Amino acid sequence: MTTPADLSGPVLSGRGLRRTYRTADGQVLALEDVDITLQAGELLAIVGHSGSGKTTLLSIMGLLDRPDAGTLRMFGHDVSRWGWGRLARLRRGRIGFLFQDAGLVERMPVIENVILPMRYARTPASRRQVNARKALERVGLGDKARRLVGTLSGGERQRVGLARALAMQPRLLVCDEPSASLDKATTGLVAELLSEQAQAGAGVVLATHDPLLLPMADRVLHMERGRFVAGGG
Amino acid sequence: MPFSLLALAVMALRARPLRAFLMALTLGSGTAAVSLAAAVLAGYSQQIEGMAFGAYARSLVVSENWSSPRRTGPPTLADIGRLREALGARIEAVAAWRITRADMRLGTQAREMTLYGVLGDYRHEADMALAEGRLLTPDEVEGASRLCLLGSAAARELFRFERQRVGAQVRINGIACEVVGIFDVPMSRTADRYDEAVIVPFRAAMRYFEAGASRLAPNEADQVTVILRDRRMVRPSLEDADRVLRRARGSPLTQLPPFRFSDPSAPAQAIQRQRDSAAGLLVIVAAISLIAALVGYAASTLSNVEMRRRDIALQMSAGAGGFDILSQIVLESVLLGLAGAVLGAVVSWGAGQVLQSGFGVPAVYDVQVAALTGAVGLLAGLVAGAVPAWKASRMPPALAVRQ
Repeated sequence: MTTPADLSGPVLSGRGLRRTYRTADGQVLALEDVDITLQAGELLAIVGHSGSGKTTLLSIMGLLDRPDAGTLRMFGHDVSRWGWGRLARLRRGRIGFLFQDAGLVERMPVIENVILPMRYARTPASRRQVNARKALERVGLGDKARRLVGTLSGGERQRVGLARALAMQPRLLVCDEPSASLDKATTGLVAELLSEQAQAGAGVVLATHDPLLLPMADRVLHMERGRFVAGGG
Repeated sequence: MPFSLLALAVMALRARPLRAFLMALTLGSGTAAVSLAAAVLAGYSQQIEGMAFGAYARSLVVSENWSSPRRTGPPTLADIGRLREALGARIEAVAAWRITRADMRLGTQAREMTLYGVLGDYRHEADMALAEGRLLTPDEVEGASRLCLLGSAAARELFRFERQRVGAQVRINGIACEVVGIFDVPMSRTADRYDEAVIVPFRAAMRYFEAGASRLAPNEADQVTVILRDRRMVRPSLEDADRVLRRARGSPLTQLPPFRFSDPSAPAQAIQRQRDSAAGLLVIVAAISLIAALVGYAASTLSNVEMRRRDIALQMSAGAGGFDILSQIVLESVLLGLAGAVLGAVVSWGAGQVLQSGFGVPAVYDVQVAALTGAVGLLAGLVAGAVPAWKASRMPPALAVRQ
């Protein structure tokens, strides 16, 4: 899976990124001329009001969306003009996500949610089970592997999301308000695991306002109306 | 990856079991309609096969027309030559038959049976497997040896206790005749008449076995059967045969023909017409049902895909490409199609039993009908699931982040 291009340079670098959306009220500018770089092992926090463009930027950084203009390099590849198929292949096994609501597939057992990225990454079945079990143990949910997601509490769901993101040992971890509805203890666990990932060499980017998470960031960027207003990329 | 896709498809279906069942039932209703139509058509076809078996369905039977005012007698061996000349390459085989009742005896057993004296190729009509012994050779059929073949029922009635049946001497109207072969039970209605009968060579019947003063001259036959190469040749051949035989007997076209030409497949044709008219109706009804089921199923699948937008986007964020999503939804649809085929087969079989017992409409469930039912279910799943699957594969993965 890892090509020579993967191993050199920053995890991600974007130059002049721009993204607009068409809505019923006309065009909305979500990102304008954004430059950003994320090094391997760096933990980058992005803060900003609702509608400032954080989620759009995270989508583009996670290859879930494409910029209208600008250049985006990911793991050494220029992916600015790549089609969805190639982006999916690059995303597979390299990028982990942690969403505000955990982003779990309802009505699927906990362990299957954790296994899901490994299925698409063609990880052998025996390793999938072992890795998923380990990740669940790590977040303290080893005994709830067979439970349906719908039966879990909010904190447990977020921990399953974290286990899913970490099970693949991704090179880039994209987190959108990961502690929005968590208690202090679970937020502490999230912070600890994200730091561990960064120390292990992964690039971690998170959109957050949580005072418990912000201090551990190497850099904090402020977004307003689709631009960085302080600090820069 | 195929096993993973299958696992994901099964998980998605198991997540909403009632919905999956109802969707399979929707497809099953369309599949049942097609299956039932096929079973009824197969039932009619089987009836037709039973009535007009093999070559008998393409034969022309010539016999004396008793209602003709100018009685010119039964067909003769010379008429066979005329027919051969007129019909030429259309003829596959010809047989001349002398048919009468005969007193059959073996030891103390005595029965009256039909005696068939045959000349030519008799196997097209006496289309039965041989249970014991051998058939009459072409030379024996042309000659006048006292040899005979017995039908299955005839042999059962004559040979009550004897173990050695082939080679035994039976008496036909008091004349000894050696049994060379015994037929098996006839499998078609057209061969039924040879079941309780004895078949001997034409000239032997005329010379030895017909009792008293024969009603036929030595060169005359009760009927001449002309087997044609193709069923579609029966109608034009009938006209040609009538023309040539009228000319031979000096019978003008203004009079009734000297011979009666019967098409033994006529009863089968009547059923065939019945089947054809039923077929049109059944195919239309089945097609409408299938289309309705496909539309209903496609609509349900589309709404299901819409409901699963976030889940699909989450799968994409986990690394699924458009093709993975397309394959998974198609696979789900195919699985539902197969489940629909099973449900459809059960419904169709039940409806078939009702039709058979309540309305006398034949319905046959064989391997072909089963294969068709499975194939229709599979194809229906593929076709109806294709568009929703394509739509799902085009969903923007960014939906994973935007709740």
